[in-house]
Amino acid sequence: MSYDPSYRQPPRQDRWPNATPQEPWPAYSGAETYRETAGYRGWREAADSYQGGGYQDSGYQNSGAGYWNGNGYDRDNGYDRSYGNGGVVADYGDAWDGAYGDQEGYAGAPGDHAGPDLGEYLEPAPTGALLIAPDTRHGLPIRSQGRDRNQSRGGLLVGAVTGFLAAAVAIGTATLAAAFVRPQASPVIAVGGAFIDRTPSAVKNFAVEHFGENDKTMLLLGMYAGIAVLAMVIGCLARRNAAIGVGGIAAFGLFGAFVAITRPESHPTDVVPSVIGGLAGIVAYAWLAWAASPVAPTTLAPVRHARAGGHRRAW
Amino acid sequence: MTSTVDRRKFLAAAAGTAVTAAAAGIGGELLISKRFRVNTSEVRLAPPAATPRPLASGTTLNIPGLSPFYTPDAQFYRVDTSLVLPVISPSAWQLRIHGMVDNPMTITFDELMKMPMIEHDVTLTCVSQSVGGPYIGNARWEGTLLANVLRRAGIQPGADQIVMRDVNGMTIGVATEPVMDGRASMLAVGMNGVPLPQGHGFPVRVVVPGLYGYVSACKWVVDMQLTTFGAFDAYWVQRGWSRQAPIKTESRIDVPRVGASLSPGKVAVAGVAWAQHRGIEAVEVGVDGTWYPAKLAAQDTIDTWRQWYYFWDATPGTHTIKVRATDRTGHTQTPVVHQTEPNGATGYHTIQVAVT
Repeated sequence: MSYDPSYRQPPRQDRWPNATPQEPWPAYSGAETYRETAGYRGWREAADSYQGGGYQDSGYQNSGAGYWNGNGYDRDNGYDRSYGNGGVVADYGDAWDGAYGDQEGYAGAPGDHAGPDLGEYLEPAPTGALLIAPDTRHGLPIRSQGRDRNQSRGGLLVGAVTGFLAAAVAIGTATLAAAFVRPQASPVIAVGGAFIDRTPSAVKNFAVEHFGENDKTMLLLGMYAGIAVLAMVIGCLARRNAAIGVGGIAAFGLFGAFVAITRPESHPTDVVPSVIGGLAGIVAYAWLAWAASPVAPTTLAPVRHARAGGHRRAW
Repeated sequence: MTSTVDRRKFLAAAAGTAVTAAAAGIGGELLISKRFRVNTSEVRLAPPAATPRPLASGTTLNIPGLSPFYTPDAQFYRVDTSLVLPVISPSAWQLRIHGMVDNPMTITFDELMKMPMIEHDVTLTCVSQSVGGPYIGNARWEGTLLANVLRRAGIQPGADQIVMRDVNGMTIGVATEPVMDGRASMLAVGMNGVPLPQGHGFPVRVVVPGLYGYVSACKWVVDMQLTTFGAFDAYWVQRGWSRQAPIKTESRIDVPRVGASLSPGKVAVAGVAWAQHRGIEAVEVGVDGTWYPAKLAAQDTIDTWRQWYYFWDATPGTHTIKVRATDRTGHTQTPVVHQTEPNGATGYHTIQVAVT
């Protein structure tokens, strides 16, 4: 998983105007100097807003949970303890959660990761290092299993729906584009034709004997089913890294285009439906991923609640 | 901590993309069916130069469940590799003849239609026809003799294979000899009195009596290259099927159906037998190991199947019924069971019936 420092933001001035450290970003080590200062607390809050980034160590999450629970920030003891935990990366990749470069969604990410199960978490003994850069992958995060399961179940559904619909838009648009080129230029038809040409004769004989003249319908149904499953898997993987989603659709489009122009008697314009379908799929994916980006309860929730008149449910 | 995904926002996006996908997909399919539709009525079939021979009396039997002598177009089998049917406008159709010929030439559809037309009944069979299978159909084809066209191009000596290509690049390799030996091999434009349906090769296909479809019956044909078997392997040959494949003498029981429950007494056992371009001489029905001669319908041409029937005096019990045909060369079909690969299935069609 990539770690891009550009997603880290300086502490938020608006909420803690007096607590902002002078430096734009605190050092990872030597944080001792911040400890007893107001700046230190300000940094803590700032880091809090990055929790979605998995930027904080699990121990820190603990104290952060205290913050969310309204227990105040003065749990310096607890904080110190957890802070000494060694600063592990708590699943940085999840921060994306389909946010897809959406800074707002990113900044609001704490909802996603703050507030672990306090009861299940055992504090390890303090170690030497206070903070370690997340991309060092130093040690493994300790995660609360129950919450993880709920989280991933919802994430899988969102990912699968995202992948499926993005693929549906890609194929639908490619079909529409093929209507302006020629039907054989449709990526599904082109790949299906190439598949027929490469089908081992045992499979072909089986299809002819069992499906008869519906063999082509069966092939297309099988292809659509295969594409749907693949798209849902890619959609789930892309929840962790949006590049997988974009890359997956792009790969589909390029594959379709390649097959379409390498078919016998193909025309150069046969690439058009695949390319257009791929682009449309990427747009659809971006839309869905943006819509599935995590919400910041502190900033967006009151507005949304007022409008929706209800509560949001975790997926 | 609850919310991770704004459900309303995501549902809105999901609905939006779903509607987009459905609209584009359905709209695309509708547009394709509208823009890429052949109008077979553009083709006016000329009355054939050779007057159509009326079907001899007794050629068709009237037994319920027996395959009709002429297979209706809609029920005529279709085995090909085209996921979408090619769309060729007759005005754009051309046949290019090249390779080992003295005069490479190109024929337009209008030129083709001005050539002398014939009508001929030919039963087509697919090599994927397993014993007792459905991939066989009989039709009256209208077209021009392929041999006449090729003679105009001037086949050079040694060109033992004609590689035919359809509009999608499918290759079908047929031996030159059976095309030129005087049988009614034709460039067909009509089927059972109407222009070729789109699924059967509109506007022009090839029909060669006596050969399995994969080595002769090129649909949507646009190109013919005279070459040799040594120089080029066609599509199916590359996939392990034989270079040449005459249709094997075979027969099929249409009634009674497999597993039928019958009443004791007279039961009609009927079906079809075929040995294209050799002709069917005799059909025998085997009941529990004893062979009885079946009655044959009159022969139309040696290129068509023949219907047959046998009145069996059914007795209570379970019985095994078989059929075997003998062609006019005296060859009786082999009882050896063989799969369709590489050049056609063999064996006796066998059914079990219960008489109660």
